[in-house]
Amino acid sequence: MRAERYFFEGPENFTRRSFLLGLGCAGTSWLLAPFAAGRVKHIATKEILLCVGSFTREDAGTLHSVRMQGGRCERISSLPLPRPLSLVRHPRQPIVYVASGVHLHAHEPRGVVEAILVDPKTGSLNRVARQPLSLSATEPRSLAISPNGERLVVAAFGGGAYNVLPVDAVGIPGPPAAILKQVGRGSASLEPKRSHPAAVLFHPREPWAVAVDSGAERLDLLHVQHGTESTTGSRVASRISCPEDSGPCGLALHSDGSLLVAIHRLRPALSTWQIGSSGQLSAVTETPFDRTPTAVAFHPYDDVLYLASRVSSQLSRLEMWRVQVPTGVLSREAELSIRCGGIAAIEEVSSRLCLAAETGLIAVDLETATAVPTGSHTAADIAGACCLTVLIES
Amino acid sequence: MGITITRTDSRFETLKMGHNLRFPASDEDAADQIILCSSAEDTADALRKVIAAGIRPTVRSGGHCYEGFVSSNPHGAIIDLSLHNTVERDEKSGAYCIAPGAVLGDVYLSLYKRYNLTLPAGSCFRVGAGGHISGGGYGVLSRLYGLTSDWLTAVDILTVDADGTVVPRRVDAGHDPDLFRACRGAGGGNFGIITRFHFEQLPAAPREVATITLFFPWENLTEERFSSLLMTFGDYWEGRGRDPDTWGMFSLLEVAPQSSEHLTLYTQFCQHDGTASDLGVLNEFLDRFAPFQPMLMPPRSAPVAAQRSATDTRHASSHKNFAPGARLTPWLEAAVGGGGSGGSARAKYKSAYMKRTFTRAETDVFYRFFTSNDRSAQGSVVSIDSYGGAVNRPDLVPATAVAQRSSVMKLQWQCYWSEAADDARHLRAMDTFYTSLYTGSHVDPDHQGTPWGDRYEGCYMNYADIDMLRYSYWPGLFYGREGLYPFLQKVKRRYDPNNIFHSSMSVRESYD
Repeated sequence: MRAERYFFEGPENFTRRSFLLGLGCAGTSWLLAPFAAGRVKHIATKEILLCVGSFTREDAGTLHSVRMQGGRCERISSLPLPRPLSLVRHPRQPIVYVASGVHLHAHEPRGVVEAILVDPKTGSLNRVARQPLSLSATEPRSLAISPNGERLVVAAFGGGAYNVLPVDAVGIPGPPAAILKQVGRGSASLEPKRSHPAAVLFHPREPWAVAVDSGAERLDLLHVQHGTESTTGSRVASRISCPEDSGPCGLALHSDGSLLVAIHRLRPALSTWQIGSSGQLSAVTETPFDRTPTAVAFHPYDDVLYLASRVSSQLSRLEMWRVQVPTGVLSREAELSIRCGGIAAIEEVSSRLCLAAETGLIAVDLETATAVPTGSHTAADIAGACCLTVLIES
Repeated sequence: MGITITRTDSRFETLKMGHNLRFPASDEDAADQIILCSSAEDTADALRKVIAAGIRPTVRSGGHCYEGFVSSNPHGAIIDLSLHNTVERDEKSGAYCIAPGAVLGDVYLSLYKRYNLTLPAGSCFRVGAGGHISGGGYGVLSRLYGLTSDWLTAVDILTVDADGTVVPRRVDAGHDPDLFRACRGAGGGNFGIITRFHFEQLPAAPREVATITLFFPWENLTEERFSSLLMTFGDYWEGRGRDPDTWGMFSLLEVAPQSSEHLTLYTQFCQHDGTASDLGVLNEFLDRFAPFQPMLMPPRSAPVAAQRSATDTRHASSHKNFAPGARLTPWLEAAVGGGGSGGSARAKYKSAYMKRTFTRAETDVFYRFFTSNDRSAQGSVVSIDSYGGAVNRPDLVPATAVAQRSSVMKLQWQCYWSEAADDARHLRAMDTFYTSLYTGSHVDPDHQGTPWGDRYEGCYMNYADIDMLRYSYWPGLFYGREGLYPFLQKVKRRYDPNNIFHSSMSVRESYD
């Protein structure tokens, strides 16, 4: 099923040139290049454009653009969008891809990926494409884009499948180039007992994506075919089981691609895995946890890991762990209690952390030299915030 | 070992398609491979391979799926069972066994010649047993003998468990009875791959049948007379057609556009003893149509003298209550002599079960459509089949997966065309035509546009129609309102926990 495309000037005028002109810019250098930035500390006074997804019982789903400066946020645009569960930005284009965690599209059981163009000047959000996933790939919960921007990998939690979508030169996703239906007996604590791919991340250099299947309780290493010469080369190259009934649910990948951290929610724990040069995964440690972890992320430039867990409906905890990358050993260094509901996503934003939490967008100050979290405040009242990504730093 | 046909094989372009040429809609939508299986073992091997590769399997027996549930399978594999086509008797159990790839015409021939038995199944001889029986199956003998799946006593089926292991099962009333019930009419492509149908008993093949085809020239049909004709047909099945002595009669009224010049009424009759020695019931039925001046030949080829009249004694005159114009035919010739199921074309189909005769409002909708100049109308026909009789056994509702046991007619909308560029126009026209029939005060406000309510009994799963998906209650249309669909959802969760077998209309985990 092909993407529905949305045009500003009518489809007959749609060209790469008109598309770029439609962005209001001649180039894309203003975009944050996620893997080209190097290990450089950012200055907190920059103006930043964020995208935040949210949904609540009252709101079927909204994508927000938020301008952030000096820790203060201003919501500048919003777009209704059902159940936005995961966001990722294109490495070069001002486009955000959204996993819309729906069961149905056009009355058929399939999820959807939305491509949203973000105007860097105004922050306005415009849908440029809506790409249905394969039949039965319902409830996409996570998506990742390859460093070259040519492939999106989508983890369809409900349907137990991965979809690999090609992305064209201007950032429009196409119909799945590969559909990888998963099987696997899930945890006794989960119903139904079957595969539920929950999170996926792209390796920074290799044509691999690492994914966690919380239903089948395993890590999957996906080899992702690039280019147009073949549409069937993508496959699950290897799998490694997680401890039974541990409920792996989230992933973080160190910026050099050598260390993977998974969080487990049924038997709360943090497990670390080294990724070999050919993609082999080997377990390093498993650290039991006293609370259910809800989100995890590496600092993009420091060897630091942040881990969020829920203490109560109104209180969460953010921990900072120092990472010895060569060995995979983690050591807890600091923690911060935050008055907010469950934290679903963590993103480093110019020497701060932004947290997508049930009660809103939370900004966390970091000590410049150590990246230790020192304080927090609600930066934007976005109820049911569940995912975020940084669009622009200028 | 099955035969794998990939895109580089010269057979691929032919085998990637089914009977409805709308599917696959594009090269991208086609499966990447077709695996031709000749046995249950081949089928299990093929299924294991596609599961291990993370590929979606779709399953084909005869290739007559009305929607793209099989042929539209991007990057997937079609497991084609057409070479697994035996019809035989199991020496141990004594059951008659039909493999899914057998086409109905061959089933009739084999059962008749080997055992003097038959199966109350469809009249399209190239239709594969696999899909037909899975969805219930009915045909010319169903008023006499019931649905095809009513006779099923066991099924060999391959399911896929949570680990992805292919599990061969023989299911019957005592073994996995829930899955067995689901296999009796819920439709193909839901729970696994059926590799053999078992029937402990089958009905005797009739010795002979009386057949007659009447033609009603459009030029004689005013709107009033058209309406009266349809109501005459419907009145019979709602009333007299419920009596057991009529169950051996099947009739099909084919409503075609004015440009085709006539409507056609095909009728077949035999008594419960498999003979046509007394045609009183047939004659009584046919007499109801005398006021419409039916003809025995299509209008262009028929002189006026060919009108059915009481003086015509050319056929069946030696039988009691002979029916003028009727032919006595050996049953086998009537069953398989007519040919196949037409050539392949681009097509759209829809269906409805009717519990009552037609209303004037309904016949007016038909009249307007078929007398219009609409291009879609020119390629369309609605087949109105008699129904009921032995099908309408309420005791079979909890034992099978066919909920519709109260109807007296079953309607099948068909529209055919050749050019892909015309797809949207014809699909829209059929949808509008169908929806308009069920829009109005005769349908409650929450179910407008659908055959729902006291007069109707929903739709037939073997005439799959994805237009109905836009109604949140679509499972109720196909599976009734009495709990069959929730039951099937439980079966789905138990036997296909990974939802390996799926289409846009397959049983879903939750009631979306």
